[in-house]
Amino acid sequence: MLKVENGGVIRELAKGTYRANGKKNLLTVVAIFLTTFLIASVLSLAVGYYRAVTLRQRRINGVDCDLILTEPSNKQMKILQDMEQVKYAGLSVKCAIVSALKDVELDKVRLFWVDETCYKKQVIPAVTEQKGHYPVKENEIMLSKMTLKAMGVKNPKLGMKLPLSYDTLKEGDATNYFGQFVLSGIYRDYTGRKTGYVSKAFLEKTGVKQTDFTQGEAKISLKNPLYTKGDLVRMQKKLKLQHRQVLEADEYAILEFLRIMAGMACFLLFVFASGYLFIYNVQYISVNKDIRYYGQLKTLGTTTAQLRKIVNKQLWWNAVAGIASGILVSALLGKRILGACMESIEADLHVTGYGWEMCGVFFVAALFALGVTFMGGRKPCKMVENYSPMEAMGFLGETVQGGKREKKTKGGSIRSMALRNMTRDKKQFTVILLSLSVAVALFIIVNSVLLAGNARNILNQVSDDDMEILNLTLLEDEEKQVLSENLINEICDVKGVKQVRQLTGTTVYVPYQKIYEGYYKALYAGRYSPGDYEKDMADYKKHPDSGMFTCRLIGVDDAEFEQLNKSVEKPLSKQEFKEGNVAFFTKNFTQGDHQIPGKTVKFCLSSGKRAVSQKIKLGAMLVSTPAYYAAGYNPDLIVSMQYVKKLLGKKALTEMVKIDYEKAYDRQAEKQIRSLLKGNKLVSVESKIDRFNEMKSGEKKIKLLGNSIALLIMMLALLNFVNMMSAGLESRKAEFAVLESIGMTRKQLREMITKEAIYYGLFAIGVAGIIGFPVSYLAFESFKQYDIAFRIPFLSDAILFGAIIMVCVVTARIIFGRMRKFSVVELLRNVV
Amino acid sequence: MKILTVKNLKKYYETGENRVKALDGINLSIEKGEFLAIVGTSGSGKSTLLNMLGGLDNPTEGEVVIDGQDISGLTRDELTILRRRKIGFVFQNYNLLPLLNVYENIVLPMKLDGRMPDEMAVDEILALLHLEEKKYAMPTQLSGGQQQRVALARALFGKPTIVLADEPTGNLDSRTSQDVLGLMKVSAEKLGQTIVMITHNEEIAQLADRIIRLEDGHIVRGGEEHA
Repeated sequence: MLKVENGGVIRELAKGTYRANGKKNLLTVVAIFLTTFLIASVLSLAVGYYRAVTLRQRRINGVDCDLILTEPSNKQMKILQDMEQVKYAGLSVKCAIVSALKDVELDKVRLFWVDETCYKKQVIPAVTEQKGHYPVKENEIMLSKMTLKAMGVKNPKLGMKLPLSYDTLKEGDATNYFGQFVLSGIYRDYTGRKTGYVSKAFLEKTGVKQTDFTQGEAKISLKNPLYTKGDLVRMQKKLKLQHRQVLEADEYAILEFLRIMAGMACFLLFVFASGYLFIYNVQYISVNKDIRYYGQLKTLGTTTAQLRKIVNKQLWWNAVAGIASGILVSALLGKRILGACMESIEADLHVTGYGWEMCGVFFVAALFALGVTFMGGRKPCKMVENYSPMEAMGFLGETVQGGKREKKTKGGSIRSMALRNMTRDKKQFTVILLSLSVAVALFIIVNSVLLAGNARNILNQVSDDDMEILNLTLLEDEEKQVLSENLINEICDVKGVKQVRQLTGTTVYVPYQKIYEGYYKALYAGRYSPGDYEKDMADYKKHPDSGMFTCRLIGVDDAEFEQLNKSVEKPLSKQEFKEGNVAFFTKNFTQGDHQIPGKTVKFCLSSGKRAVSQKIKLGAMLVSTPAYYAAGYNPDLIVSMQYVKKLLGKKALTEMVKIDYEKAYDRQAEKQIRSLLKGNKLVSVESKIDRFNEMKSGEKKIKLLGNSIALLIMMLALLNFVNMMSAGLESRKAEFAVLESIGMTRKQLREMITKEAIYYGLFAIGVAGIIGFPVSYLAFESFKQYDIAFRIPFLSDAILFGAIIMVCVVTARIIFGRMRKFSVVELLRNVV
Repeated sequence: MKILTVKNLKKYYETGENRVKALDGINLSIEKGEFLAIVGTSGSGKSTLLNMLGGLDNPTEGEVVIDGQDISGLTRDELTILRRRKIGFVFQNYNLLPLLNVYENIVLPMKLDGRMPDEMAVDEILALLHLEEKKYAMPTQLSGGQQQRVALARALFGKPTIVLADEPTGNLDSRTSQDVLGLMKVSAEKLGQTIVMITHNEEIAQLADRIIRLEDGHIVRGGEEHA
């Protein structure tokens, strides 16, 4: 067959058709643009989110590593460094605790020595704003900004002198040392703990060894951070762990990773589905008109291959315009979106250096948009292939045609007509419904994810009070009554304070007794075993006032008792508790209650032969201690304040007060309480409002981001709905005219259209609910960072549903309103 | 008794600088129960006149009085209500609603008026128009003749004062046309209704009691000329 040179004609025809369908093509370009932009944005967010979460985790840990081997020997360090799967193995030794800078008392400032690998490869990636150098000389020290702030150093300068009192962590060394240190480095860490680094010379001076119990750690970074339990077992075997050594690892790392990935995949599926439906829909919307047009061209002698060329050319033009603009805008906004995402997770996260990942993101977005454009756009052309030119020219589609089966119904009411109209074109109905449902479901999911990160919700679940004031002098040489009765009364008098719960604390001596036998056995069998069971027990029996086996006697007031009593399975009698006949007990190092409840324990307020022994029944075990300080290996005793006062009189020191406000987050009350504590260096304050403020800024940004994505998807869905509704009503213009001619008023027509829109909204909400609620539960579980219970955010979901129905109705009524300008005859003539 | 009166009815269309006079001073009276045929060539103004009579279009000038009520001052919705109570329409292309079955198409105007259809009356009209078997059929399952009979049943069912038929046999073969027209005439006589029918077919027009001829927007035969 001779080749016919008709490329020019085809191109001209394609151009002419493209220009003639200007409005539809513009809409298609907008659809492709929005979809490309949406997908590129969501994918970059996903990449950024993953990186930011990883970075945040690294910073929270303070070290970039995957596993920790406790108390490693030099031989084990060598084995680790030689292991194929290990990227780095650094060594860290905790060697001292700073107790004061001049007169400023400090709470748990830990000093570490780390080797070069650990410092350069594992510490530096996890800290920021690092200045100066790692300590080299014995008197050099590197401190975190948080530590310096706690020391009261307002403008820290490298080289400044710091007179510090410290205790070494060498076993048996109880001396409090003093040293003049020089600040060699400053850094900012995110662990929430006060830390500092010292030189190897200082470590050697303290005498602490890397193999000392709980002090030395090998920080292990793996080449592939996703490890299984089997990998750990193999490593443990190679390392030949000693008695109390542990290879600390997150056994659920893979599961956690898979869970987050599944959540993300689910979310992406929704986003892709939404984009697909939108582009496909816009292309499909004028399918009947296109089929008739291509039918006409066929009658003029255009072949199917030529028709395909005409269609493809137009699709290319649309795709190039839409995809290029989509990628350009997402590239321009991408940095901003990512920046906001990082900040939403933590204010100081700056994730950089993943240009190639962004290229991948743009490539996926472009490929997807292109694929869907061609899938949807070639539909009319494919359909024409199955029709004769005349059939194609007269093609009306489902929207204008009616049912083909007998319907034994006696409907005809406005309601039933609205329902039937809605489903007359099943495909169109499905597409509108799906796109709306996907958007609504995404909103439901976003609402739940926001709930998972809702600061107020989290704090209400995890904090049992509004403010805690801690006495910092306890367990020091000179314990003081810094939380005096006067101060507590003043706090009680502050307007907005509901109650003040008071806790006293003192260390008591517990002579050896049988009731704890099971507990001691479990204690010595565990990782935190204090030493040799037989030897220690023999010593303990000989010296009942051994410092190792002390405990805290914590006195609680009525309000705290009520709170604690709610948390136990078998509540105690308030009267018995007040009279000092029964106590709660709590412990840290073992699991289970070792059959202690119901038994009576003996304890002494002082050591020595003249010490008077007291007895109290242990009624119930508390899961966690209500107090702050701990002492010795014996379980702590929680008794009534009255009982403590009876035993100690005025010597009873208040350890902590917990304040509950009438109304949570009462800033006025908090301000007044803080003014009462102004200048008091011997107390520390933690409040729900402080934590709320910290979390709130992050939450706001997450809200903004989540809602922006959902809004973008909703915009796609609504544009879809507007398109479909507009095309659907347009194709039914003549039918409306017929209805009007036989007696349906405009008001009744409007009512019918409104009902159709409401039904669309309701159906979409129904489908979205079926998909959205289970997925939102999974999303909630994936994204929650605290142990908070899932609940459906009814109010925000109800507002969302109302808004959806409202938007559907308003859209439909606006489109219908545009037909008002035509007379019945004009509308009738359009089809006749 | 006059059921419909048209006085000096004009409909002009302005297209740029041109003015098309679709109807130019029509005067007409129709008696109750009369069967009137309007004939004329294409573009003579027949359909425009019928649309004016049914309140589907607004006149440029003049008045249309149906059953003593001047419809020129009515709003669009008032006209619609008037149509569903007093006028039945039969269109050339039937204009049945594709989503409703035969029964639902017939009773729809009555339901829209908030009245409940009398089932016996529905069966009666279906029998009269030989549609008993098609009561629940969908429009796409019917032949052209059957569809036009359903349209006729819909127009007659509410017992309107006037039935306006626009080329009711335009899409039917001659035998079916005769059937439909016969049924239309018989039903209207039985129910005492007035019929105004447009046709370009002289033979069909002969079935009417009176014929008027339109040309270029004027009645050239069978009407009443007023000064």
